[in-house]
Amino acid sequence: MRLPQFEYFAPVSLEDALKLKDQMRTSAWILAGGTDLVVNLKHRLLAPAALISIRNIRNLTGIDLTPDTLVIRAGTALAQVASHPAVKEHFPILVKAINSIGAMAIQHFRGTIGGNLCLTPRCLFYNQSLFWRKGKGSCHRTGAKDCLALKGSESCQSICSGDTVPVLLALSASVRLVGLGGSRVVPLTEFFSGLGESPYHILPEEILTEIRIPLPWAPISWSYQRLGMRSAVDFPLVNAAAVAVLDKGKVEHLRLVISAVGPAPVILREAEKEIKGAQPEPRMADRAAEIALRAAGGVVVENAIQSRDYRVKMAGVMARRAVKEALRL
Amino acid sequence: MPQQEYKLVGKSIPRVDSKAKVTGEAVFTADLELPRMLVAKILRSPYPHARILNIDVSKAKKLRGVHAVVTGKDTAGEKWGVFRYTRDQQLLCVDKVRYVGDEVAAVAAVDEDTALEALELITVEYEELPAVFDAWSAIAPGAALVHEDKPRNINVEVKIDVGDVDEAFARCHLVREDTFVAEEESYFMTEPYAVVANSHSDGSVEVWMPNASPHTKAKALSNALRIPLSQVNVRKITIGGAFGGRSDVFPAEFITCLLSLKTRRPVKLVYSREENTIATRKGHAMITTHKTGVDKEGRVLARESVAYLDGGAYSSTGPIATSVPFLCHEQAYNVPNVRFTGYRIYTNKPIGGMIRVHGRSFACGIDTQLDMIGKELGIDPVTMHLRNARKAGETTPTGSYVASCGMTECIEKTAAESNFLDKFNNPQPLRGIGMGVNSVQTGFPLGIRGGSQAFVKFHEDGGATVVSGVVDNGQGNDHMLVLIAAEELGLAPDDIRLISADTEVTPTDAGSYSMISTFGGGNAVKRAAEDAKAQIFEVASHMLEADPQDLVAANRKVFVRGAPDVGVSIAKIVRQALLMGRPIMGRGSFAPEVDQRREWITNPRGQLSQAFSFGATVTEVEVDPETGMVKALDVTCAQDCGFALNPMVVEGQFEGSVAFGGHGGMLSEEHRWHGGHCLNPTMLEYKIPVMKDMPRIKPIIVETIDPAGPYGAKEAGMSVAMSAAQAYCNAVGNALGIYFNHFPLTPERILDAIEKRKEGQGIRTAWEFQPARVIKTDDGT
Repeated sequence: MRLPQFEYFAPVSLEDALKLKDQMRTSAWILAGGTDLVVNLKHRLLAPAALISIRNIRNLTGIDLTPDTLVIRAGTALAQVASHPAVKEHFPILVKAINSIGAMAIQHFRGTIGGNLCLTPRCLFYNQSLFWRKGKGSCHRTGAKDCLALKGSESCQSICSGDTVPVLLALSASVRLVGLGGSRVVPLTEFFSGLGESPYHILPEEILTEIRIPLPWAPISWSYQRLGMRSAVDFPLVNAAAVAVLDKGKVEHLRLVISAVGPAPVILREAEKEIKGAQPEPRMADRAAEIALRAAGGVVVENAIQSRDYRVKMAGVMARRAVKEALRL
Repeated sequence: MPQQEYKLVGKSIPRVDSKAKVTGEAVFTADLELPRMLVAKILRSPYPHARILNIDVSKAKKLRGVHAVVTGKDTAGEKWGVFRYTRDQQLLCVDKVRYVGDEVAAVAAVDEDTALEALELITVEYEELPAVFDAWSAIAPGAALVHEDKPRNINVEVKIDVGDVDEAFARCHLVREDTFVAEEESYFMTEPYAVVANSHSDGSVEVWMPNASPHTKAKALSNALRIPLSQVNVRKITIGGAFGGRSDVFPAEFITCLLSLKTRRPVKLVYSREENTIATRKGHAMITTHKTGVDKEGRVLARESVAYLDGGAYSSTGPIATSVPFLCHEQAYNVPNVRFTGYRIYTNKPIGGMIRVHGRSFACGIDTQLDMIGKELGIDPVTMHLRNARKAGETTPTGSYVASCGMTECIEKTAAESNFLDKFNNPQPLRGIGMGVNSVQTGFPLGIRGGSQAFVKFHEDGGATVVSGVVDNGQGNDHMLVLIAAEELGLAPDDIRLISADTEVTPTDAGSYSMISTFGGGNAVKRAAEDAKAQIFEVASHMLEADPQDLVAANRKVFVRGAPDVGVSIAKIVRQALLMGRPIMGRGSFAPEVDQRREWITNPRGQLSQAFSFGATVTEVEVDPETGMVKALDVTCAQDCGFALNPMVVEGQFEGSVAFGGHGGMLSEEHRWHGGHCLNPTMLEYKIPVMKDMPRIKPIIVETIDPAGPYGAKEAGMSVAMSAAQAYCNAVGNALGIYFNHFPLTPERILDAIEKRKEGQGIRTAWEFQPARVIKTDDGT
């Protein structure tokens, strides 16, 4: 399959990249590995005038440990993140999530953490060839005002499929977005729009440069659950992450997220609220499952390789297992 | 030659083609580069069913860099069909398109971008027509007709009735009827389809493409292009997998040749993965109703099966595909009274072809039902299989004599090795064990192309060149031919050059479908080598002053038996023969003894194949009842392959068969559809298994030394592919106490069956499906 024509830039400084982005706005896409982007280009899902590769920008790779935050530059290769001593020490949950992405070659050579976080949401009716889509008509993402998976839907229902998404959210991470005019740090809780056609709150002139994970104030216990038909080369059918701090027999802190259900990850705040401050007990896992099931029921549509019903049920199972493991039930 | 004297066959040695494949040196069709070569692309129908009102190619023709544009008008509506009576596929659609992907027009241009741009410039006016997407709606009275001359969309009807089925049912102790459903599966060969055609000023055309029979491809192209057969030269090329999916002829090669003839330039067409999926072949979705009657001991006395195959838009190998699921089973099991009615139904979907497991719903249905009957009678699966197993010396219901058969040994060995009965009788929660058995033919009557011929010529250094029509599409046929020639001639594999699968140079062969290559082509090469060896011995007998009958060829020498030190080198003998004016030229041929009067529909009786392979597989699994995910733990598989020419290759075939037929085939592989659109045409969403998820596999080679096979060999691997499907199915069922009847066993299906499971309802299948019945057509036939 052939790539469409586009201009290719590989600036060596962030400033040059930002200048390009500032000029070209949404007509330029950031190439941060390309394991997702290049396939989408070949399928003619995107028609950018230019790609701006960040591979030559030195200060967009690497990991820094500050007294209170782990800063992962967006262009850092997935394998590099997973093998970094500070990540392994503080956030083994992230290591687990990265190890489940694609295959070894993707983790080692191409895929980046920023790329995984900003993966284009997926849909069985969208991630198809140009030929395929011609016979089916357009959707919100391809120029029309409808959704092929959910007729009449006002926005695109494609699936946020990154393995790191629920994990970074559960770790209360934030991202740094940089534009020519300055930079801002946005918590991930405010990063996802919920609209498949424009899934991230990022301005056209901005580039995501860092992922910032606060170091835990106490030992965390965690769980990452993901369901796929294969143990490699497979996007999750649904995934869930739980991060908890257990202290003096009580749940001091809990963040519980399910993802790969709809265009944005879903924080199960109701479950968190019920569980926080209480003593861990098996009932909590079942409650989390009920809440996840309800939440998933509201967002999952028929657009993945297994049915909507199955994915909704599995959201419950993944949430239950995540809580069970994180609360050591 | 006594078995203990074999130098090469029977030993595990690396394949002759392995280095080239591992290093990337092997050249596949898409790698070919010829001077002045153009790139072809095909415009396909975006609709499942539509009338073509007009095609305007004027803009595309004007695009700079475009050398030719062809449509149905350039083909005179030429149609392809495997049989005279199934010619229903226009090589470029003229009047109608019948599935999403049907070929409408094609271009040849200087490069791929230009060709793609040209496709965009072709405008086709369609009138969309109502379409049918499954067998039930297609056979409904009043349904849209895919082909107007085929009422009820019935493409093929196979009827077999042997013994007195009704009388036998009447005296059965127990009769069950169950219905089994399976969705479409695909091959996902590593190499997507590709064709290179190069026409010449003498009117001839050379063609390279993945194929299972160069001679069949040449014949079809000769007919369609209306050029003499001797001027269509299909060349040899490395092929990246077939699994049944390269057996047929596709519009791709016809279109590429047409474009090359028009432009007088070489033309290359390379399919995308999606095109490989939708526009070559795929498996059939299938609904099968089995009615089986047994005596008190569980012996099957009668069986009636009705099957509906969702064939897609065209016939392809329809009569064969409709028959083979049944034929495998009449070989595997001794059933005296049997009736089979198979329908292949047209739908507006991609075309169904031959694929390894030959009907998951048929095969898995038989073994699932046997397990159910065993449960009712209190008989374990091993005993059920043993009691009904085919034995050597018997004749199948449709009249094939079975000369060699290791079915009982396969069942006993897999059962013993896996400790089957112990595990079956002492079940662990969520753990399951299951057994499947099956049988596959080695070839079937093919008329004038049923046999294989070979030549052996010598070089002055004592090396030899073998010429054979056999094609290697991944399974190791090249290696097999070299090994046999080297064994016979007393040479090393490195001493043998192989010229094969080139229709200009190599003689006819049956093709490497239907598992005939070793049995047919291997025998032909063996005979050619024996012929050459006899000539060598004749010359050597003068040089060694010995009787030719006392001579032995080994280690590149000929010597008197028992005196290997005083031999003469084969190189010397070859040169001596040249001096004597009697150059060594070996010829051999082999035509299997089959009944050439046998025909799939009009006369389904007589010897089908000269030999049959038999296999049994045991699978052990663990099921996650919350997610429906299955973890396969251990697989023990045995096949009677007659004789293992190279045990390492045979074991590789077994392992591949477990992955294809069992693991992927039964747990995850299926196409999903949205109308006529395949939702998962690529490898990401069509879930072929990955290495990481494969179970431990224990291969057991069973050898029965078939009287007619080369060194006793038959075929290797297919009986495992089929029995593995059945074993996986029964293992998952055993883990949950559920008899599954909808395949493959995806997690959502397993979960659904768990939720629907009701205690105390007796022995029943997980789902109730409408049974497949004999179709009464309007004219009362």
